[in-house]
Amino acid sequence: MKTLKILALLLGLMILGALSWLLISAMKAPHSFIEEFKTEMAGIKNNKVILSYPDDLLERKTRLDSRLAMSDDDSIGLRINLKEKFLYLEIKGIVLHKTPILEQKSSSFFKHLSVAEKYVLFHNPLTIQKDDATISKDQFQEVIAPKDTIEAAKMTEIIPDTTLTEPVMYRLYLNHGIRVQITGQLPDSIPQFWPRFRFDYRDRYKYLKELTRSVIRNKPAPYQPTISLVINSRDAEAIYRAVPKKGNVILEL
Amino acid sequence: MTEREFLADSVEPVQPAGSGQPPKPLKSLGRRILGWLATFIGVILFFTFCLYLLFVVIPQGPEIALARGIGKDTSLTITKIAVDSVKVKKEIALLEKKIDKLTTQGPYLIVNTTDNRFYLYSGKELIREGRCSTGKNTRLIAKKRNYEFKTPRGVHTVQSKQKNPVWAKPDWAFIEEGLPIPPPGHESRFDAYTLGDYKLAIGDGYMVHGTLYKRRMGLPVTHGCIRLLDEDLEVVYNTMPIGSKVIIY
Repeated sequence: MKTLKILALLLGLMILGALSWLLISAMKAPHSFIEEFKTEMAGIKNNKVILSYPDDLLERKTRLDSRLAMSDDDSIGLRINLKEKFLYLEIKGIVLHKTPILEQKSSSFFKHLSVAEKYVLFHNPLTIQKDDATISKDQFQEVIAPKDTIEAAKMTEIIPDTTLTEPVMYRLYLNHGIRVQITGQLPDSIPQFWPRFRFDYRDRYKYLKELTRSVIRNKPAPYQPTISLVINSRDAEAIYRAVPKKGNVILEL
Repeated sequence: MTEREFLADSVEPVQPAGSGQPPKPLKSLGRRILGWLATFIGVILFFTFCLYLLFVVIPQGPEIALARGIGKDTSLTITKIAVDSVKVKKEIALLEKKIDKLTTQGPYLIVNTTDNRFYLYSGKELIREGRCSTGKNTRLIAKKRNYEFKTPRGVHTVQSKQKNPVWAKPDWAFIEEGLPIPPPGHESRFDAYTLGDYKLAIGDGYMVHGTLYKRRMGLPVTHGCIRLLDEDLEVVYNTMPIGSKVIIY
């Protein structure tokens, strides 16, 4: 009995030790991310003239440069303005859709960026590398063609249900390891706890898996600066379906 | 061996009470259950704590570190040089002009397929907005081929305009009704009522047109075309010349 107790205690300590190790590695992650970012940006640092612009002008230049760069593209792009708290869908400089940001939360990484660093990171639109969503980009319902007019008459025409029923949540993984998470706000009457929990859990599980792998391989732990936004659910759906898979995203911080 | 000696060897000596260690008291059943319960609760609490660490604290680790100032130094250590701010202001003003010029000066139509709404603009001015109907996002599975009924997203151009249009029914219109497909040019293919009073062709067979099914306006029920109410269609038709843009998202 005594041996069993000692073994259980040892096991407990080992588990706690492993978890502490994971936590320390996770806490170290931003440091290695920033170091990597610095190395990546070292080349652009040479552009001393632009980076020496007064802060207010450089901030404006960042916005204008990125919008102009996005207007060169033929597809719809997303512009996120955290200062004005609005999300815009744009194509060729034309604003197609505008929606207010109801809630926003961003990683501390963004708060530490200087205006010059923001210029380096955001003067060109970021590109969506992949996404993860609770809804599909294109949802098709399949209908078998009727054999004759009798069968066609029997077929009831599908009247689509346009009421909000499913929670809309998605993450856009952008270059530079940045990601944007958009959640559609639904009325309280619609059950959304479990879908949200599942979506969130999936992300945490994936993160833990990557973290453990990097710890085992003795590599820097992953860090993805995230911007989380809550907007109207219908708008969230429209934006997700409008922006192409490899679309452009402008971040205006 | 005498009888006394034999007895002394074979019988174990009885320890007198009070000498040596006292016998251990037996644990009562209640105390045992309590002990097991405490262990069980302890184990549950330990694993709950571990799960909390795993799924709540550890994923927040990077943010905790940044909040506590670990890795706070993100600066690229740029040594600024003197710049002519008047020149910079001019450059910014030029960029702003460029952005302004991007907005089309003429009329253009924006269609939101999620909300089934349209917005008619002329430059930056909104001329009209209202309900429309767009593609129903279904796939018709027929014997020879499948048809996808979806409104194509992106930028399109008005390629032609027509008053009192006649709809030349494509094959799927017959397949959907369970009718045999007539040969091209057959009179049953032509329908002078379904498209309403006007049509604006935007390429690949897609159109902006009117409808007989006004009750379904605002719902995604079409085969890919954009249906408008008569009054809206008239304004759109009269405002948009050939070559103007129709942006669908």
